[in-house]
Amino acid sequence: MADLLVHFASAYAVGRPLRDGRLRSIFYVGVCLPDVLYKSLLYLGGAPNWLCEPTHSPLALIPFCYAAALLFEEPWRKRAFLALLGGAWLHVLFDLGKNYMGSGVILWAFPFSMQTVELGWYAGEDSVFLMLPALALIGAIELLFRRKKVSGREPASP
Amino acid sequence: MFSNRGYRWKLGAALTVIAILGVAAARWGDSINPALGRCVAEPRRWEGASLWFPAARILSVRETDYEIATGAAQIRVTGRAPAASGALITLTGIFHADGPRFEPLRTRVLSPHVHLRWLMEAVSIVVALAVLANFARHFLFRPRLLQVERSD
Repeated sequence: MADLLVHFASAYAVGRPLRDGRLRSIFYVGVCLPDVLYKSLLYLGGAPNWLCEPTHSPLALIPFCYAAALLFEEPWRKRAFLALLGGAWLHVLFDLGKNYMGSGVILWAFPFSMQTVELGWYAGEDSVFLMLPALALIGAIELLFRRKKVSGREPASP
Repeated sequence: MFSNRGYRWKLGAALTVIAILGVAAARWGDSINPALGRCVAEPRRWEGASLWFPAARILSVRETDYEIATGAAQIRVTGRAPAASGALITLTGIFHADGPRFEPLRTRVLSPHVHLRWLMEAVSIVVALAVLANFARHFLFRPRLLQVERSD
């Protein structure tokens, strides 16, 4: 998996235009969710690798996000579910680009198929080189939105 | 679907589905890309199995084959070594019970910066904590805020 900084940068690019900061914060949690679940099950739960794989499968992520959305107060649940699922799917989309030597990364149709797919664009260990561009992207987006905010506040010229 | 009606049933059903999916993946995936240790322990059972080693260290190199170690298991790989002994490689191929030996299909030498993986993990933990802190800032129950609102 690409590191969470790269995933967060992708979520920041997509989620920053959202006006509601609360919805944005859920979307950011959603983009971290697959890795947090995978590593929690693997390292904290001692689960075998295959048991953790549904956390990186588009269809299997639906019940995960649904269960998490149910923990919100009622008026927020639908939005929380969509934000969590959107973030999680964005994560899976980025992981799809990894190179697993043709073995496949994502169980794209689980539980209906165990077939895995990958695009093979970058090796896992090369993710370290994506960290600085990810930071630069986050900085550029933040700068853009701050400038927009400042220019929006300026009084209209007479 | 998102209302409070039958809340416990809905939450219970979602958690049950998650558990079933996990168990199903573990069962169905058991025979896909098994660990080398299992193949070496039962070579006849895993004859012809496709394996992928994300990281294996070359232990020794000969003219027509080389030895690799991954996890606690070792195996002889047929063909010329892609790098000198001590190098880390990733490879896919077919397991053969005679020997046992491994017939490589695709091999790639891992970059030296594979050792920086700890940095990626450390940064990932920091990012996850920051994201959770941002979430908590928006959603956690804050009694002080209520007190301020009440005093107004």
